[in-house]
Amino acid sequence: MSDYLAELREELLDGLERYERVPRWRRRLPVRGRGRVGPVAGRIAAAAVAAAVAVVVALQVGHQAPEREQATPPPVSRLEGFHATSVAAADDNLWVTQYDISSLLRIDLKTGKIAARIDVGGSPGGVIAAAGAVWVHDWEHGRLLKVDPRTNRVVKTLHVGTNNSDVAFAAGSVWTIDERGQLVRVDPDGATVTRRLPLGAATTLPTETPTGSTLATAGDTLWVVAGDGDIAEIDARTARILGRAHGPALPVEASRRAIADASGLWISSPFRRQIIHIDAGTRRVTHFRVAGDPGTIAVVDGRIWVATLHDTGTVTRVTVLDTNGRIVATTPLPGQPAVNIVPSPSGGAWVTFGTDSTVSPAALRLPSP
Amino acid sequence: MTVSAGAPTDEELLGSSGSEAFGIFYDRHARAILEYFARRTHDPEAAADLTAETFAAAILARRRFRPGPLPASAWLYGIANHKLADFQRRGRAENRALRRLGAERPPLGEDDAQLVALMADEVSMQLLAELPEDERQAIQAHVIEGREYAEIAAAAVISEPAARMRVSRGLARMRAHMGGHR
Repeated sequence: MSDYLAELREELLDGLERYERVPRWRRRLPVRGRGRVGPVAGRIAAAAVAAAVAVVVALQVGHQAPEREQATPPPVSRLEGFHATSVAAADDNLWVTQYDISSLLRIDLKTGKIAARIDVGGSPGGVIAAAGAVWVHDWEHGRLLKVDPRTNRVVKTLHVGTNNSDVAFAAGSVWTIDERGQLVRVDPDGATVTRRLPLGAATTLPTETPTGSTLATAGDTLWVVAGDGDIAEIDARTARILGRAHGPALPVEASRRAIADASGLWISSPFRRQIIHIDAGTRRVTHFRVAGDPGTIAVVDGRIWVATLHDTGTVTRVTVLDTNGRIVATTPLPGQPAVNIVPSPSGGAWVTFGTDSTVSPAALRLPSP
Repeated sequence: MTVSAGAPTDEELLGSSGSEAFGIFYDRHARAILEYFARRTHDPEAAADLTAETFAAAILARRRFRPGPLPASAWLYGIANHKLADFQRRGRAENRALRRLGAERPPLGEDDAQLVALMADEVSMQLLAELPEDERQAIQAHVIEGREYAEIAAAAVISEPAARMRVSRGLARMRAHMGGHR
């Protein structure tokens, strides 16, 4: 009995620490009608302070190389002055949603300066650049917005349903999840909903404690990863469910914990120091161990990049794995947890980081190892 | 549960941030909560499920805890009562709070399951009362109160192997008597 209670103690306290790292607004997202979180001015001030801290620590990266790390941290580019929720990089631009001030930022990656600040309303979360447009999911009002990058204007708004979910592109369509847990297919040209596909257990339906869903795509394959761990592999051309699997429950946070490549789905397990691979087609599950608690995950230049927290969150790194699970490199980050990792159009990745795991006041560009 | 003088109260622990304070609170009450569920469900797996879910819910709700006329343990048992009522209504234990923490209930090993069953079993309690004093005290200390063998040995002024032997003999004697009661 002491074994059970001791193991339960460890599991609960790990959970408590993870829970405390997630800011309160993100812990309990209501299904609809959610108001803005806190005064905007306060949020901006907090972000500004965090940005200043980030810049200072970023400047100290070169002096912090821990043992067994690369002797010299890689040269990095740095952006700051925003408070990102999600980011997408395309064509020398970084598109940044800022949920708390209802805006989409366009940052010119050549100059590092803000090229456009687009008021989109609501609480913009997931963002992708696809089919000649930028698509933003507003989880507060359940809207999908199409932004024309030539004019920096919202050219179409459609109601898809309020669910703390993701937005993705596969097989020529934009995809998201609606409030009934259905997969929504959107024609990008007309920006119209062309199909709603019930997924059964493979979504998180609105409940008292929604946990959101993540969409991951590779080619014509679309993976739906529900917050409670149910997974569906879908042929995006036919919208046919190819099969199901089950993974770990994923916490509600801005960080992406599921990503796909041609081999299958990669999941950053929130509590087992593991990266989980689910094979496309067979859905065979393979576990790869990483040091530290894994966070946001991405496929960058054919490898798996995952943010890892070490020593109960006091040390943060980006760990790069080959697709066979071999760790290629581990790069220290300046003090704060990585929130997003997005492939850079010029190679490597942009890594946003921040203290509360949802708002990133700064980003570094790390080259591929 | 005993709290030594100068130690933080349960109310103070629930009002503190961080995992250390909650860990102390857990240490004080986990065994009693497990026993509470074991006695009411007579199902070790369900008791383990409900214990895990109760403490996960306590983590999520502790910010809303306000000290009042009742002790913090009453608040914890209030959560436990709700979990038990849900379990009896649904026929299964929920794990919603655990999921919100991104946590999983650890597996209940065979030994653990046997001990939880023992705690819940009134016949076992009767048999325990009938054991020789030294064996009864050793089982009471180790199985019911969760004390380490070294601590039991020191209290009884015997060696640690001797303490283990008392527990082992007592459990064996109880198992041997079970057939006569069932």
